[in-house]
Amino acid sequence: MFNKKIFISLIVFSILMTFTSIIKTKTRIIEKNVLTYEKKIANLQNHLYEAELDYYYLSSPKIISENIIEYSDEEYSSVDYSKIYFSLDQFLNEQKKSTKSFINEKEIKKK
Amino acid sequence: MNKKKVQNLLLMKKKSRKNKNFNKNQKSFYFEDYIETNLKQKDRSKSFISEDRIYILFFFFFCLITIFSIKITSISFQEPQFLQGKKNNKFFLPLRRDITDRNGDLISRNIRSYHAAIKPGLIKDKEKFLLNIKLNFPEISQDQLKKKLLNDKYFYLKKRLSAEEENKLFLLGEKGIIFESMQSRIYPHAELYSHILGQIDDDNYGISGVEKYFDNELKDLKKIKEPLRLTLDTNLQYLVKKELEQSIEDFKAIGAAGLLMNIQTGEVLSLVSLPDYNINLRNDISHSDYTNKITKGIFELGSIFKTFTIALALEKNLFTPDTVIKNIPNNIKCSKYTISEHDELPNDLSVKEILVRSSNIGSALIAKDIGEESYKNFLNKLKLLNTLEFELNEMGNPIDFRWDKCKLETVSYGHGITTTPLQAAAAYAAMTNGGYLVQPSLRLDKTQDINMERVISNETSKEINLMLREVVTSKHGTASLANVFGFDVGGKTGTAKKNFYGEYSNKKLNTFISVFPMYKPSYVLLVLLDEPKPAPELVYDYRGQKITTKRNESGWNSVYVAGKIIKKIGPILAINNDEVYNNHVVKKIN
Repeated sequence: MFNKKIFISLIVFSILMTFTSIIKTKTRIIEKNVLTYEKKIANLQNHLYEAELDYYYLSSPKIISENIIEYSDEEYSSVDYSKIYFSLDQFLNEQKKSTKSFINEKEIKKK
Repeated sequence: MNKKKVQNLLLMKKKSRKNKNFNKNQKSFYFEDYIETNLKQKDRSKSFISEDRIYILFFFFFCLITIFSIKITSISFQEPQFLQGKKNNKFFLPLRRDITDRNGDLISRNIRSYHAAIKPGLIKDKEKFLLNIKLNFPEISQDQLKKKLLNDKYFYLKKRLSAEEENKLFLLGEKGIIFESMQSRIYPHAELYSHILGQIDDDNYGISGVEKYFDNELKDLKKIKEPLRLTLDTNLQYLVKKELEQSIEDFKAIGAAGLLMNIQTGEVLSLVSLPDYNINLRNDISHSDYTNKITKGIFELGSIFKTFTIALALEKNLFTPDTVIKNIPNNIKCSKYTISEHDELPNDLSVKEILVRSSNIGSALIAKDIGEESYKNFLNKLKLLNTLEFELNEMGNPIDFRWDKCKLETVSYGHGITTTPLQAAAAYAAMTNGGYLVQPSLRLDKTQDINMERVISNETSKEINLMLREVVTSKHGTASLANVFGFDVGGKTGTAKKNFYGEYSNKKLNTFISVFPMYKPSYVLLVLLDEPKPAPELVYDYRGQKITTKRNESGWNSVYVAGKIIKKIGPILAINNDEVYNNHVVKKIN
C-alpha cells in the first residue's frame, strides 16, 4: 500500500511546486510593483515637465521684478560704480560736484 | 515434484545448448537463483524509472524556475520606460525639442494640450448645452454653434484649450464633448524673444524665426531629450528690453532695437526689437512696425560708416590718425547735391578728429583718396552689401544701388547706403577685434571657423579702437553720455534722416554702436531708436553736469540709452573694472 518512492516523488514534486509558485507569485508582485512605480514615475515626470515650465515662467526676470515691486518692502536699485566712494575726500568732492550741478539746474530753470 | 525437477533439468539443458558461449572445459559452476535475480532486476529497473521521473520533475521545475529567474533578471535590468524616449501613453513625449538660452533657462517647450470637439449626435439636451456654452464661453457665437449642432457633423468648439477652459468644459459633464489630445508650444517668456523664436503651426511645423530655421533639428526624435541651446541670455535680454522700452517712453519713439554680440565669437547675447508681441497668443502679426529691426530692417544708419572709411584709409596707409587735412570747407557741391556738416567744425581736422567730431566732408575727402573700387570691395568684404547668413529666415537684403557720381562721397558718411543693424554690428566687431570677420550666430554649440577672414590689420584695429574710445571721452566727441565709469566704452554715433519712397523726411533714425571694454574689446552693443523726439524734460548727466536739452541727435538719445544699458549689463558680463581694481583694490602679497 505504502509506496515509499511515490511518496518521495510526490514530496519532491510538491516542494518544487510550492517553490516555483512562490517564485512565480513574487515575480508577478515585482512586475506589478514595477508597473505601479512606472505609472507613478510617469505621473511625476509629467508633472515635473509642466512644473519646470511654471518654474521658468515664475523665475523669469520680468515676473521676479514685478513680484519684488508688489510684495517686497525692500527697495532694490542698482548702484553705479561712480556712487561708491573709497575715501571721505572723494565723497566730499563728489558732493561739491552735485551741488554745482544743482546750481546749474536752477540756472537752467531760470533761463 | 520429480516431474518438475526433470522439467527443470531439461530446460537447463536446452538453455545450455542455446548458450553459444558454453564452455565445455569449465570445471567449476555455481547455482543461480533465477527467481531472486529476476526480482532484483525488476526492482533495479523500477528504481531507474523512479529516478528518471524525479530527474524529469527536477528538470521541469528547473526550467520553470529558470524562466522566472530570467524574467526577474530582465525586469531588474530593464531601462525604465521614461528614459527610453519611446512613444507611449504613460510618458509624454514631445514632438519638438526644448529651446533654452545659454544658461539653460527654458524659453520654448511643447506641452500636452487639447482641442474641444463636438459630436452633436451624443448631445441629448442641445438647448441646455447652448446655454452652458453661452455662460462659460461668451465669445463663441451662439448662432454659428446652433447651426453646427443642427448639422449633426463632428466639429471643433475651441482649439488649443487653456487649463481653465479645459476644466470648464470637463465640468459640464457632456458626453458629446470630445477632448482631442494635441501638443502646443509654450514660451514662458512670452514677448521677450518674440522676434527670435518665431512660431509653429497647429501641426508642429516651424513657420518663422528659430522655430523655422531649426525645424528639422527641433523635430529630430533621436535628440528629443536634448534642448537646442541658443547664445542668448535671458537676463541680458530682459535688461536691454526694459531700457529700450523706457527709451521709447522718454523719447516718444515709434520703435527701438538693441543687439549685444560677442565680438570674438559672433555669439548674439541679446536681440531686441520693439514693439514686440506675445508669441503665446499666436496672433497674426502683419504690421511693418513689428518687423525684426535688427535682422530684417534695412536702414540708412548714417555716420557709423565713417569708421569703415577711416579704417580703410589707415589700412591702405593713405593717412595716419594724426594726419591733418587742411582747409576742409563747411559744405561742398557734389554733382547736384550739397554736402554739409551737421555742426560748425574747424577747417583743419586730423583724421582722428574727423571721426571723433563726425565730419561728413572730412569723410568724403578721405573716401575720394581711397577710390571707388577699393571702397566698394571693402564694403563687400565686410558683408555690408549682401544678405548676411544668420540663423533666422527673416533677413533683410540691403537695397542695391549704382555707384554713380557722388555716391562714394555720400556712402563714406553713411548716406544713400542701406544695411541691416546686424550687418553693421558684425562689421564693427571686425573693426575692433583685431580685424577678423565674425559670423553672427544664435546657436551656442556652433564653433567659429578658425580660418577667419581678415579685413584689416591688427594695427589698424588698434588705431580704430583708440579713436572710438575718444568719440566717448573727448570733449568734442559725440558720445559722451556713454562714458560709463569703469567700462571703457568706445563707439560711433549715427544720426540719419528716414527715407520714405525716395524722399528724405525730418523723421530720424538714431543709432549708436558701442564696443566695450576698449582695453580688451569683448562686446558690441547696438542701440537704434526709430523716430525719437527731443526730450526736454530729461535731465542728462553730461560730463559731470546735469543739463537738459532739446537736441535730437544720436548723442542725446541712443548714446544715453546705450550708457544706461551698459551700466546694467556690465556687471553681468563680468567685465573686470580695471579702473576700480587698479586704484582701489589692495593686492594680496602672499
